[in-house]
Amino acid sequence: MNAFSLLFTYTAARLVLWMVLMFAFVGLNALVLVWVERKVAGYVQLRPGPLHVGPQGLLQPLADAVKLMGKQLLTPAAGDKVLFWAAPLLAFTPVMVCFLPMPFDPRFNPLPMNLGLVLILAFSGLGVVSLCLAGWGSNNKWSLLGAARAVAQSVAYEVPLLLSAMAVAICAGSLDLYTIVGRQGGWPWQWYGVKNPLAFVIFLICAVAETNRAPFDLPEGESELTAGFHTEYSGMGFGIFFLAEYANMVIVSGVAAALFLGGWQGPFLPGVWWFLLKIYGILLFIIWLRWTFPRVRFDQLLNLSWKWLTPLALLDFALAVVMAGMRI
Amino acid sequence: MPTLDPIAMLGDRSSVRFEPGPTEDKMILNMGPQHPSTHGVLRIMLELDGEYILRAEPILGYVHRMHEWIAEQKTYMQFIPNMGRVDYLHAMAWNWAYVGAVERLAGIEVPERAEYIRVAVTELNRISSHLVWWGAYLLDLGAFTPILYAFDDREQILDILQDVTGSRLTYSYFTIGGVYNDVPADFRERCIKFVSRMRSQLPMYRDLVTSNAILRGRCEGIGELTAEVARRYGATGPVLRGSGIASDTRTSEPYGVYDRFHFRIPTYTEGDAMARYRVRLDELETSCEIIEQAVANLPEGPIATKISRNFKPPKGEASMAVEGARGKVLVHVRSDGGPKPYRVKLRAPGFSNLSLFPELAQGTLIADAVSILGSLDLVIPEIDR
Amino acid sequence: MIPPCVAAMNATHAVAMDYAATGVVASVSLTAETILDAVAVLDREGYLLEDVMASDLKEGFEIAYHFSLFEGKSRLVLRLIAPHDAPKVPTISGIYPGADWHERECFDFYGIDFTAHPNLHYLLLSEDFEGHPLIKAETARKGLVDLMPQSWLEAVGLAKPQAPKTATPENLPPARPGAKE
Repeated sequence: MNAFSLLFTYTAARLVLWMVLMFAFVGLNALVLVWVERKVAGYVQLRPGPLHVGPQGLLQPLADAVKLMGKQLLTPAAGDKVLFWAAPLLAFTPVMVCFLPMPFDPRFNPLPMNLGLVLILAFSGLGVVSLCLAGWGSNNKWSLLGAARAVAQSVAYEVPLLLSAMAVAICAGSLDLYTIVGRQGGWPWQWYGVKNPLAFVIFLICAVAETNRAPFDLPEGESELTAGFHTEYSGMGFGIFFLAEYANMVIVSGVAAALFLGGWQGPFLPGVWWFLLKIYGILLFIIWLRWTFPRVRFDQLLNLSWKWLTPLALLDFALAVVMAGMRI
Repeated sequence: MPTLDPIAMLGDRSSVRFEPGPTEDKMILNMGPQHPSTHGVLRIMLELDGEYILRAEPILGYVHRMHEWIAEQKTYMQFIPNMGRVDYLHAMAWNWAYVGAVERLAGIEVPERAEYIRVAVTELNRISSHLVWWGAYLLDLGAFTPILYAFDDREQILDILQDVTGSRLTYSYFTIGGVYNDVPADFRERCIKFVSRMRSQLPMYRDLVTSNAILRGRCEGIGELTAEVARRYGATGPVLRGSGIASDTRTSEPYGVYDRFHFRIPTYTEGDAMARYRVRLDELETSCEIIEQAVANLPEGPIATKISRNFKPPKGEASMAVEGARGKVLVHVRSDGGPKPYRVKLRAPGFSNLSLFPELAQGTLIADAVSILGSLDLVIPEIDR
Repeated sequence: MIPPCVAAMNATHAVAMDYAATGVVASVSLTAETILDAVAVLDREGYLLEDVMASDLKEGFEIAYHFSLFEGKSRLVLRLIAPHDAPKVPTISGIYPGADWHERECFDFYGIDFTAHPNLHYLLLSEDFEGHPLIKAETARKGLVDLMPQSWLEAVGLAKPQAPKTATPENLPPARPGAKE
């Protein structure tokens, strides 16, 4: 351990170690999430899900990955090649940056910064640009509709998302996720999710909308737009979008766990396990939503955001300022 | 005698041909023929302003198999299997319509046992058709789970009907003069068991799905159809009953032994997609009632009147209307006294129901168009024949 | 039983039919000039348009319009004959918009020209199809006497009413049903 903690003092080494760990984490998570999603979908739909590939279908995600990698990469002839292939790359890259300020464990902070929350929210907004490029570069009217929907949806749901996150930041007095988690405690009544439940609910709804998950999966709208913005992608192109979607889900769940569920705080177990447990709890909830509800219509989606969530989030922000003033 | 001017009466018709070529601020988009929500091979040309539909024109014929020409080449008995392929989801209704028309023409009387069996299997088939519609409609709206619950229930029906007819989907069970095969000994108890299972599932479907706020937002107020417009377009079935007109062929012109059964005709007056949805869900209950009564009163006896090998009905023409899951199925048969029909006309309810679509879809969003199409319950092979 | 509204149509023949044998209660024969007014009468009475079908007969193309009310056994068939060489019939889609597609289908299969139809091109057959498939060969065509029931033929005067049958050798029925004398 001594050599390890010696290495730790060098910032560069810390960052490299962190990036390696995060790549591994994201990759492993994608595999696990694919399996969890398919199993949950199966049991909700009265069937067992993957069962044959490995014990209880545990090797199914590997089989899927191999299949996707083996497929031919097609580019639409009349589309814009550069934009078409820039889109998946752009979908994946911001994801890695977003993991830098994620508070897994109090002992291991790769890059102490005081604006972690802002960094995550800023870079997750970049994902929309990739959807736009995908929709335009495909030279397909259905993809274009998907991209247009994605932009409007993303813009609409950014506002309440930010407001609800800010409400917590005001209460905690900091934009650094490590500090925010530190201000909470191990027990549920010490979490901000219980002290400010409205912000929690708004944040969750906006999180589902920002990651384009059902019931807000209009840009991908399978039964209306064939496959929306990723209609024309085959093989690994589609695989990267898929991966980015799951990584986005993990990020957004991580932020929710840190802001509202107390992050690494919890009795008996070391912090990182609690954090992972809470992330997976929220992920299960998001997956459960997908297989239960039908899709909202586009104007209903925007109405929900602009007419309901934004005013409520503003109200909640005002409440949070009062609460912070009263030192709750 | 003042004659009416057809040109003046046309007014502003929405089914006018699309002009080729681009326009300044409108987009022409093809929905189909390969599309997850067009329920078969249907192509709809949409003229869009953003996501709003300015005009819609369905383009048919991708599954056109010229059944009416085939009918003139085959003998009366040989054509029966074709009827199962016209609307494969409610094949029994088409079987009945065709066979009923020929029986009317030839004056053949069907034995009582066969009549009761016909009612029972047609109602079972109606339930399985409505279950497919329900699952597929919700799939179009983005709910991925109900279709699997619906298919689970439907498997029970398919098992029962497989033991009766030998097929799971495209039944050719009816014959001129009765039915082809007798029902097995456990038919009655299996039907009763199925009906009680179906009745226990329906409350869950109502609570989890029909009352869901998102579903109601996608269906209420969408595709409003007045009774007058429905009549002028020839709409029948749940589309008509969702607009307030309590007209069902089983009660308006009873065929077979339907006049001996007691059942409700569900009708709703709103005329929107939600009303049509509710009509069909209530029809599941109605069909359960009819099946119970049919298997309770099933008489003994022969299952078919024998007809000659070289069956030649007398010259004449006959029409038979049957209430299918989608609406009024009508088959017209004209005979010249020979072994093959002279003319067979198949009137599909979906044909008239789909012709409503351009008018219903005007000014709505694409998502609403998908919802309207689903609420019309279309099976394209029936429309194209 | 012929419904009373038929009296307002300028019908050539109006024949009551046996519902149990044919599925219709009355058959009304019209011409291309009188069909529009007849359909308008039915629209005022609240009839539903069921379908428009065509058949290829010796006399020409016979177009049959089936209407019925919402309740009761009330199916009416309006029929008219259009000559083979110039099959022009006015469209009824101004009164019943549902007839639009039914008439297009008749055009597909028989080439009937519905004047003033807004959209008369192939519906079920492909755009570049040529011809009209259900038109029969000259030798295969049959006439009304071969296709209509005896009671209808007697009512419109195409067949002599037959004397009541008694089982004596002199009153043997003709060798083929519906054979002309």
